[in-house]
Amino acid sequence: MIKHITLFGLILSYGFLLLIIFISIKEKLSLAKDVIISFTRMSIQLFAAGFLLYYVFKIDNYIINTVIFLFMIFFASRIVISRTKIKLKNAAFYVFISILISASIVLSITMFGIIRLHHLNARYLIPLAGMIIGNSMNSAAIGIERFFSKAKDNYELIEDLLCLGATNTEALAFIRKDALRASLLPSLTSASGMGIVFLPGMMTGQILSGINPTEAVYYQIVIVIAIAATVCLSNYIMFRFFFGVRSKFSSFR
Amino acid sequence: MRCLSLMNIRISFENRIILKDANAIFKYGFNLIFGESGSGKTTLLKTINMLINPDSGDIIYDKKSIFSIDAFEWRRKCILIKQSGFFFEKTPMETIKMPFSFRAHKDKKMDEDKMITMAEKLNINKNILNKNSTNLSGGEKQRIAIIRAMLLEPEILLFDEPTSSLDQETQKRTFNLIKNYSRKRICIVVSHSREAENFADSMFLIENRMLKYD
Repeated sequence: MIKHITLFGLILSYGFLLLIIFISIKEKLSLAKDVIISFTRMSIQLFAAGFLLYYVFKIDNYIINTVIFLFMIFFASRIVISRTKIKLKNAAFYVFISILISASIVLSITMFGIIRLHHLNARYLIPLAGMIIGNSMNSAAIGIERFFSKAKDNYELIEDLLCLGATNTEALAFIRKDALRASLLPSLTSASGMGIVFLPGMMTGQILSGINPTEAVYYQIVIVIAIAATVCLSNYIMFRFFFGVRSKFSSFR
Repeated sequence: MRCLSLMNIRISFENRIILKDANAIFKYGFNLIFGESGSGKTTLLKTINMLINPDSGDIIYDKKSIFSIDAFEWRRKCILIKQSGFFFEKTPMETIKMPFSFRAHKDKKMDEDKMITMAEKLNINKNILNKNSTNLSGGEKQRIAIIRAMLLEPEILLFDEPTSSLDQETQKRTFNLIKNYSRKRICIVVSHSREAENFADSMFLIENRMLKYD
């Protein structure tokens, strides 16, 4: 049976923060204030999420579930754009659509085909979508960063191909290849370290909540592959149909 | 015989006027444009290639404004060979073949014999065509880019300083090849080289932001 953490236990864990604050003050890192603020924020956000999820799971209405799914992607695409700092019209929309299409396809197959659920169960959808969208967000940021920095560095070469009659898509093929590769690499690296270097979060969670490790492995493998597929598909859609195809060549300068 | 006409073309870049009221007719043959560096020769070629939009004026080819058609469609007929910054595949051979896979040139077939003849005329050793591109000199890259564009047989071919990295002897050979090539099409060559004047059918000069017949 799993052991629940009591309120006393939780308060005790905050004691670790004193250790961080102590070192920060002693070494004059002037981080004490930041530590208090960020961990307070984290606690409030998590309590709010926990509270909200409690009701979302209880109601388990497919309209509410879908709205939450869309909200997650909406925020993810905004974070991508603010992090990569690209100034391109409709960029956030392109990221949104790319992640939406790929996450929807992969999640539907995973939930209804692989796990064999009968409806859009919130208890499955929200954590799975969270992992898939979160990873797509990181990879999209890496891919977009690479795409635009490489396009800028190779402006002359792209121009050469255009002079010869290449379409935007043809002229940017070598940039797209590089960006796709860069966006996929973290998924591959983390996949090869799994089980030896670290136990992935979901598997750890399932083991802690009493599930047989061999069973937890099944879930973990399914989700890691689903993440890699979504990452790959969303970046492919993004670079094949949106960036560089619908944007003016001069914006790469 | 088709010709390319510039009508009152005005081009500016970053709020600086580069060319005002440029009027010219380019006919079949070797059209040479010269002028001091920074006089706007490259900008004019890029405008004809539709990489840059003019502020005003029109360019007419075959009785139609080129701005009435799509840029990619236009570049099936009109190709620009830049001065440097060429895209290279692993080998020069692959580099030359690459544009034939573009949608614009899918219906064309590469003539390998022609390629060998051109390479010989431009003093390119046949053996380097299958070697690694990274070992090529600037002059070799420039000549391979010329071969690559010529094999596509466009109706209009624009050359931006095609001999800037070549020695005297190879310059002559290059201009000679362009001269022969321009019998069946419009070639517009921007060059500093005095040598080019011996080959030109008509000459233009860019001076004080004006394009003049010479």
